Amino acid sequence: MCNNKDKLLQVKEELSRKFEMKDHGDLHFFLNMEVERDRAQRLLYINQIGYLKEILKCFRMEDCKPIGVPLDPKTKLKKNVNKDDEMVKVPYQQAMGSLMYAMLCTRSDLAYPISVVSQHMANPSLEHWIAVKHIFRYLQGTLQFKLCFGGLSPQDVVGYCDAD
Amino acid sequence: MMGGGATSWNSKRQPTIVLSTTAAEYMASTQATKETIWMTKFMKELRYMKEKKAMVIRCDNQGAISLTKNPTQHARTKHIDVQHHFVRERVENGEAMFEYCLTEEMVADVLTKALSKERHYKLITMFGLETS
Repeated sequence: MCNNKDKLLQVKEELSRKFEMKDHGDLHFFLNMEVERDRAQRLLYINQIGYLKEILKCFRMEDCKPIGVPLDPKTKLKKNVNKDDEMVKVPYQQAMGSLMYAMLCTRSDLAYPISVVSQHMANPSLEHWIAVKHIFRYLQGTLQFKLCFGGLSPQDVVGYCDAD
Repeated sequence: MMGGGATSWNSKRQPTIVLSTTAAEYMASTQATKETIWMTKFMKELRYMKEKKAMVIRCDNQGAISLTKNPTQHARTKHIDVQHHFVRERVENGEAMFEYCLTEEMVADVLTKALSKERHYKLITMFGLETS
């Protein structure tokens, strides 16, 4: 972060004298996030399309039918009291982990559905697994969504808080 | 929210039981205040923000807002835990400022419940999520 180009170059030069380093130019790809910039309109997009496609494939959901919302407002997930032998084979926790990374980086819309399904991580039932697959189907439909920041939008930090 | 996009978000299950929605919102605002205070400090360190400004936090519950401003004690609020009066202190010394925001415009709604399709997409667009 610097707005003086000469100083920037100077720092770069001094660093490269001390350490072995390469200049790859503008940031494009970082921890599975792709960064795109629209200099003319002063916009910056962060997306995880590649990562999302990868996790869909990993859980064999790459051909699933897309769906509108990540969590059906009508569903109420209950605690699973009996032990299902079938559910042992299901990669529930792995799926949670993969979704959680997407949620932390760019997909804030997944935060609530994930918080709901991850409450049943220890002993999931088929019903819970269907809810997780629902999230994947929602992702399939919203793969192209990017987090967008604009240089022309207000730069002040504003917080929002809500409870339910 | 900053520069038209969301920079930090959090959805949490309430750790304790509360008796009113105001108390619930008040507790949520404690979380929001903690995060925004850190954010202001970080922005200042990057010299992105010049002077110390009170950070605006939007809340859709009038009761919770008046609770942050007015240190009154009465029958309905006297049970609220002392830790949540942290917010009140921050408002007093000008680090945070609470504003009312209509429930329709409450972006954080998407983080607290499952919504209908139209509302879900409206709010995530407000979050800065879009298909370019």
